Amino acid sequence: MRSLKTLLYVALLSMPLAAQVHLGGDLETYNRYWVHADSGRWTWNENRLQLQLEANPAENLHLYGEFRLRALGFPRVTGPSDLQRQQKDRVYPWALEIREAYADLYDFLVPGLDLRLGRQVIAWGTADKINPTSNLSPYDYEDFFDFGAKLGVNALRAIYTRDPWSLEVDVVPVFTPATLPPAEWSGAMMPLAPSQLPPLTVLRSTHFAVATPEPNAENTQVGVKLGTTLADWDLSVSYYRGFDGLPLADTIRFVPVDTTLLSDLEAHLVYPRIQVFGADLAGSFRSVGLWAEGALVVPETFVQVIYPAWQPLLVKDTLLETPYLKFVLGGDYTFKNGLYVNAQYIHGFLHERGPDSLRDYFVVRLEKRFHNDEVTLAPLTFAAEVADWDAPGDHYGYAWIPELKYAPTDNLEIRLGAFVLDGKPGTLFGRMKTHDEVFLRIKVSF
Amino acid sequence: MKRWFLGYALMMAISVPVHAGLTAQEILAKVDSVMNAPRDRRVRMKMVLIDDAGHEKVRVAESYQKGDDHRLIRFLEPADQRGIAFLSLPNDVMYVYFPAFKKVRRIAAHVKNQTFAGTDFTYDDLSTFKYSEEYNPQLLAETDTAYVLKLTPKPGSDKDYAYLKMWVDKKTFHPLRTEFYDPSGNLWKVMTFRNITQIQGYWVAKEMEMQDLKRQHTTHMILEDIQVDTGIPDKVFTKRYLRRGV
Repeated sequence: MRSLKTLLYVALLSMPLAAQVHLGGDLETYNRYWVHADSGRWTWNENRLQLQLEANPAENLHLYGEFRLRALGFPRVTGPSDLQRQQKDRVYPWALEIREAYADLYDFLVPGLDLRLGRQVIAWGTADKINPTSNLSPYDYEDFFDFGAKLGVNALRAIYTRDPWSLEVDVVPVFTPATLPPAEWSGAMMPLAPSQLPPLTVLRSTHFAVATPEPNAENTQVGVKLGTTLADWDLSVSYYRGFDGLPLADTIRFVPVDTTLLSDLEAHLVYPRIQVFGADLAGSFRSVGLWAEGALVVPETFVQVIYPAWQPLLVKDTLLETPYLKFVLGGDYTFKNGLYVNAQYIHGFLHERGPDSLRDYFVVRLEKRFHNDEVTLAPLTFAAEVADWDAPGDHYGYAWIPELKYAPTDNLEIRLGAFVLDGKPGTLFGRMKTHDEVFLRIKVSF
Repeated sequence: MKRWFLGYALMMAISVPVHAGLTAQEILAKVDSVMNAPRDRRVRMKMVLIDDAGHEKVRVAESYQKGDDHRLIRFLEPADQRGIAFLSLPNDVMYVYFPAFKKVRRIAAHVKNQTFAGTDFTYDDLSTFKYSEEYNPQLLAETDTAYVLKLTPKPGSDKDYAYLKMWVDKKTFHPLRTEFYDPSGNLWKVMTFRNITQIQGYWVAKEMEMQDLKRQHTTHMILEDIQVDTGIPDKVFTKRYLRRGV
C-alpha cells in the first residue's frame, strides 16, 4: 500500500513534466540496390524509428533525447542455432541507438554561460558537411555517402557568449571511435592491410584487433574554440587534442601457417594521437555566400612495424610524423530562377591523413525546386577527385549522385537517387567503381 | 454666427486635413514608422499554404522582432520543420539553424528573393526593413481612404520586383494592399492586410495574405498571441539563442 502511494505520488509529481515533453521523430525506410550486370543485389535495407524527446522544465533548463530503433533488413543466419534463438535477432536484426541525451543549462552561474552535459553531437566548422576542424564527435561512416554524419559523444560543453565573442570549451572524457561502412566500402575507403605483401607470402586469412584508448584522464579529449564577428564575417579559431577517429595498424604480423608460403595476417590497430589547430570563416561577398575552413593536424609520430613471415628482419614504416593541412573553400548562390549552386574545393577528404595522402576534390551541387517546393531535383551532385596533379588524366575519379526528392504532403518525403562511381585505379572513387547503386528513401515525420 | 463659423473652419483646418499635401516620401516614412512602431513584438504565426487545387498545408512559427532590423523566426509545425530557425540582423546578416545538423549556418543575401519554407513570402519579405530605405516612392493617386504609392527599388538594391504598388490607409498609415510587379511589368504577387487593429496603441494587421499569381499559390498568415513592448532582451537575436531548442 505504501509503495502504491509512493508510485502515485511520483506519478503526480511527474505529470507536469510529462505534459511539457514534446515527442517527435520520424519513420524511415532506406533501401539500396547494387546495380551490376552479373551480381546485382540489395545492399541496404534499413527501417528505422527515430524518436526525439524535448522538454523545458524550467526557463534555463532544456532536456533533449534522440533515440533510433533500427530494423536492419538482412537476416544474419549462419547456422540452425541462429534460427532457434528466441530473441529472433538473427532473423530480424535490430539495434537501438541512443544518439543524443543531454541537458542544457542556460546562464549557468553567470549570464552568458551555457552548459550542455551528456551524449551530444558536437559539430564545428563553416564548411558544408566536410569539416576538418570538427573532431570531437567522430564521423558516422556507416553510410559512406551520408557525408558529415556524426556520432554523439559523452561530453561536457561550455559556451560563454559575450557578443560578438564566444568561447567554447569541450571535454570528452572517453573516446568514441568512428564507425565504418560495410566491408566492401571500407576496404576501398581505408585499406587496413598493406597494399603489397612481403616477398614469399601468400595470404590465407586476416585478423584485425582494434584497441581503443584507455578511459583515463590522460586520454581525455579537449576542444577550445574562440569565435567572433568582424565586419559582418564570422570567424573562429579552434584547438583540439585527442585522437584520430579512424584506427591505424601499429603492428602487422604475417604468421606462417605451414611450411608452404601460406600466412595469416594479424594486425593490431590503434587510434593515432593528434592535435588540430583550426580556423574558419563565413560571410558573403555581394550576394554570394562564402566560407573557408582549415585544420593543421599535428600527429604524434606513428610507426608501423611489420613482421614478415619468412624473414628475420622486421620492417618499420613511419606513417605519421609531419603536420599536414586539410582545408575546404566553398561558396553558394541562388540564381533568380531559383537554381541553387553549392561548390566546394576540398583538400584532404574526411578519412585521409598524412601529408602525402591528401587529395583534392571538387564538389558541386545544383538544386532546383518545383511545384511549390514539393519536388526538388538535384541532377548534378558531382565530386571529382584528383589524386596526382602531375598526371591528372591518369589519377582521377568521380562520384555522381543525382537525386529527386518529392514531398507530396507535409511530413512525407520520398527520395530516389543513384551513386555512380568511376575513376582510375588507386583513386578513392576508382576503387569503388564497381559499387554503382540506386537508392530509395521514404520518411514520414511526426 | 460669423465667429462660430470662423472657429469651426479653423478647427476643421487643424483636424481634418491633417495629412493633406503629404509627399510620397512622407507617406512612406509614416508607413515605416507604423510598421516598426513597437519597440519589440512577439507573435505566433499560423501560415496556411493553399495551392491551385485548394490543398492546404499549415506552418506554425513563433516570431520575435526588435526595432526594424532584428527578427528571429522559429518553426513549431509541421513536424519535419520543427526547430528550424531563421535569424535576420542588420546589413543582410542572416543565419539559419537546422536541428538535424546541429549547426548554425550563415546564409548570404542570394536567398533573400527565395520563398521561405514553401510559403509565398520570401526571406526578404520576412526580414525586417524600412521601405523608405530600399524603395523610391511616387504618389500615384489618392482616394477617400487611401494613398496609392508606386515603390521603385533604389539603385543597387537586390530586389526581384520591378516595382510595388501600395495602398496606404489614410487613417492609420498601415498598408492595405501591396502589388508586386515582375521585371516585365506583369503583376506577380498581391499582399493584402486584413483585420488591422490597435494593440497597446500600435496598428497591427492580424491577418495577411500573399497571393503568388505565377505559382497560383496563396499563403494566409494569421498572427496570434501578439505581445508588444515586453522588453525582449537583445540576447534573443543571437546565434546563441538560435541554437536553443523549441
